[in-house]
Amino acid sequence: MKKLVIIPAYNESLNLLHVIEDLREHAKGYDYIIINDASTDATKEVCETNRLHYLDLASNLGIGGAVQTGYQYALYEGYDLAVQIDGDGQHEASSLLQLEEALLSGEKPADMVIGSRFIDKKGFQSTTLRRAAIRWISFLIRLLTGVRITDPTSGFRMCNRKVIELFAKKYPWDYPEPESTTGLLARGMKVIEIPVEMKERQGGKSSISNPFSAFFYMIKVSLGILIEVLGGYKK
Amino acid sequence: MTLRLQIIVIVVAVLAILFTVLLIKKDRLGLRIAMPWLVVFVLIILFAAIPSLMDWFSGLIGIYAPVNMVLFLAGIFLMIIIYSLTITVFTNRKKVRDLIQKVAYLEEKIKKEESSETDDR
Repeated sequence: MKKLVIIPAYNESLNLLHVIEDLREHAKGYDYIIINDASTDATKEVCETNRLHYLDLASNLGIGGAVQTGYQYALYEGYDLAVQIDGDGQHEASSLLQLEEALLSGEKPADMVIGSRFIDKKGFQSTTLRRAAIRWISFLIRLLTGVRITDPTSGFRMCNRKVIELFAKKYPWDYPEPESTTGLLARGMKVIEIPVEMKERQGGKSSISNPFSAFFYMIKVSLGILIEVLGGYKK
Repeated sequence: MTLRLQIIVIVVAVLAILFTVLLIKKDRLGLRIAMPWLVVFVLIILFAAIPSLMDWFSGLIGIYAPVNMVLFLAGIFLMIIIYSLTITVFTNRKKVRDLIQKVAYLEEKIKKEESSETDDR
């Protein structure tokens, strides 16, 4: 079974090596691919000098486009399983095995497994305001699909070949996680969650850092979820 | 409408059509994307040349003053044109994204092949 770790990286020159070392140590049997999203810092040089495995986007596409590039790579190179982790070191490679077990075992194997911060409530729990926003998204998804996703914005997700094929074709541009998860649920796919611990980001800045972008984020994600449920997910 | 205004409007609209046709001929504008504008210019010429047409049409759609109808139609046309441009912008964005993604993948593939060639030697 071919397994791929997708690591979107925008200006992550300081964290990237730690992430890769963590993977080499704790995720045996996994290949990885870094997507350098036209970083303006030394991300590319770090990849080059350390002979890391990376794709170089000619122009900045944002998180959605970068992650999708990873899924396309997984599709073209024939991977059976893909997991995305953040390039800033929030996610621990040691959790990959638990995600894999949850994805493959069980009477009906899942199509996607999300690593959730909020089941065991351990590790970095984000700020109160962010948690409130996440609860709203979670509520909306439950209302519209009937499925409880405690951490819909988690960027720590593992999926099977079927989902790889879907995401390679259509994936939201920005703030993609809640929307794409809802898309899977709307098509009757099985999405489950398992508890993981996350660390506070070790460097860099969140993409949602001021009130205006937070407001825009909430509206965009809520509408996106709604449209997915309305059958906007093209077959 | 005074005769002078009629002539000015018609001359400007005809110049606009000529300019558009020139751009299309020089391949700086596509006929398909310029079509809504050509329709607008022709309508302007028609209304300026035959003012009674304006009265008749505003009566037809239930607007008292023809000048209001002109503003109303202008608004509608601009909205249609801008909306179609929004679609075009998104289509282009998507095409650019597809290209960036393909190029990144192919670049990596070339690099991999080159390094395996040097390994063989």
